[in-house]
Amino acid sequence: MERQGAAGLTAVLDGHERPDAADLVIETRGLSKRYGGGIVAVDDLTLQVRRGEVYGFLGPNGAGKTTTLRMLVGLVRPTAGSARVLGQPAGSTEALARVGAMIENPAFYPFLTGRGNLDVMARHAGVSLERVEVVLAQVGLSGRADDRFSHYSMGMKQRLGLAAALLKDPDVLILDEPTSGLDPEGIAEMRDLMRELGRGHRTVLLSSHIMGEVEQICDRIGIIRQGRLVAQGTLDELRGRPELRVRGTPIARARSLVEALPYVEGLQARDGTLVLATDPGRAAEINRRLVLGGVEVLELTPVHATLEEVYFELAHAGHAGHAGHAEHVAGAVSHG
Amino acid sequence: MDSFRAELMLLRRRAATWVLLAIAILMGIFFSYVLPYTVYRGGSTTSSNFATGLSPLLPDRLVSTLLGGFPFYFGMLTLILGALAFGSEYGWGTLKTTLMQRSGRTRLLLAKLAALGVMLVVFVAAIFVVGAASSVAIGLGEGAALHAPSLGDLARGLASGWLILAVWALFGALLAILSRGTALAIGVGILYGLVIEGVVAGFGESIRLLRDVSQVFLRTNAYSLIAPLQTGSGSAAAGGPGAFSGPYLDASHALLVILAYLLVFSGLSALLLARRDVT
Repeated sequence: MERQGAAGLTAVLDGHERPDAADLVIETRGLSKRYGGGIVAVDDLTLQVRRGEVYGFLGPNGAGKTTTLRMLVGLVRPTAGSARVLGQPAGSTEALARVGAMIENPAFYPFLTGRGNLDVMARHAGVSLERVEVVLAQVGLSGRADDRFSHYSMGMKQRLGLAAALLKDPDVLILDEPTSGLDPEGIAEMRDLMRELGRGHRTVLLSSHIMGEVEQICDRIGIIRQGRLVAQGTLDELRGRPELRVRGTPIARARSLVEALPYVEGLQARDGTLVLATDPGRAAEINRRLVLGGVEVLELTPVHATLEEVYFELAHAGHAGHAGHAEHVAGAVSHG
Repeated sequence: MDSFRAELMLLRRRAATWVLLAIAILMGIFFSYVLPYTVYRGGSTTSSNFATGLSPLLPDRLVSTLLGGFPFYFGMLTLILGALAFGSEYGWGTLKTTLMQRSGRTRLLLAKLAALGVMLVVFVAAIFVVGAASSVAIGLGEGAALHAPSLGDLARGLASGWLILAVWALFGALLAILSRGTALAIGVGILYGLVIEGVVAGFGESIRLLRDVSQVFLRTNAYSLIAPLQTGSGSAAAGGPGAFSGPYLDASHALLVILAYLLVFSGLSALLLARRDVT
């Protein structure tokens, strides 16, 4: 289902092309977590992550991202709904055997070295200690593996967390804000690493609130707000179709000309310009029509909503300035 | 088995474990040998009921002399060990990291308890080895005849000591799981062990209700368990730190109560760990 928002962006819930059940690596149905005192952390969340994709889980702080991830690895029990990972109940022995996760800050024993910590985790995971050297090399930590964890920088701690998540050579990798607390260089390195890890058969579920990170790495994106999924789709689907912005004079003449064009599906006037819902590939043709019709064309620009714009529309709905449209789009995608 | 090895490695590599063992050994030597020997050599004491004399300090009374510290200060130290072993997992957030490696909270609990149990064997053995060395040194210094304690007494002493330390360590572990941390667990544990049990047992002599209540206390049962192995007035239980004046229960009854405590503490820990979210 597709709906066009007032700002011209189109958001999609990709239920219209429901994947095969075998293709779903992570699936939640009506997943909810309520705490005492009426606090709703996750509310009726239905999420689908497909095999081999890098899925970005976007949302503001407190939206329920981490709680959802905790439920996927069995740390937190849902109060309603269900979650399955690789066809098994989330948190079950069968599911966890094929899932690697780093949730919130990487937590390790401060008195052990990086290698010592991974030795402990490898024993708990029931994997060969040889894997420790493999993952240390994979995250570029071999040279500092014998330093104590308490002496690690934030970037090194994140790398160690990722190494622990990779110990089982998992089919599914769940990462909760892995670039949190890193400097720009560290963020770039971690991003490269995640991109590398997402190649091939492995499925990655990446929680973040950093647009660029998600935009660059993820194949599909889900946006969560107040515990509810408000949008899910590819980046292009969420950004909607590009539009064409026209500025010309006289504007009324321009409007009447483009309204008559059969391939212009929608039209809005904004700040003295016209925004056309049409294929930007028709720009030359539209320009010719306008000029022949006596309009002086000052600007003819394809416009595409950024992920950030979509995110603010959806994730912060209810805030001043965004409320009306956001609710409109959110409602559209949620029931797609 | 792999998880057990991991947990044993954690206890071995943690400085706090060895610091606690060092404190236990120092306290054991000081209260069981150095202090009584100083009093013996000086020939005076301010307390009429504090044990003096050479015989409790000789090797044949090793079991009797050392066991007096187990229900009291050794127990408090292993309460701290148990609280640290479990509570730090919450403080550092490592419980989450561990549980994400493989499911099975009960498996993790059993691995931790087994590793703790092995470490307590090391504690008991080290205390007895250092105690034996101290008693031999005193015996040689005084020119006294040296006789080893009977193997039976030694075995019962080691087993009783381990059981007493285990029940305190499990109590610490339960408090740590309950409070999801170490500080409160250690505070409450020591407060309970020293103040509540101590004060109630102290008033038990004059108030019958408190005397009855004190019969279910860890200390009462621990002292009752070791009572048959303590001979004469030289036992640490007869005077000095951790002095205990009763009520004494039947040793086999005390053994059952301690085993019941071990089961209850383990069961409650497993239940809490299994049912609660790890955040």
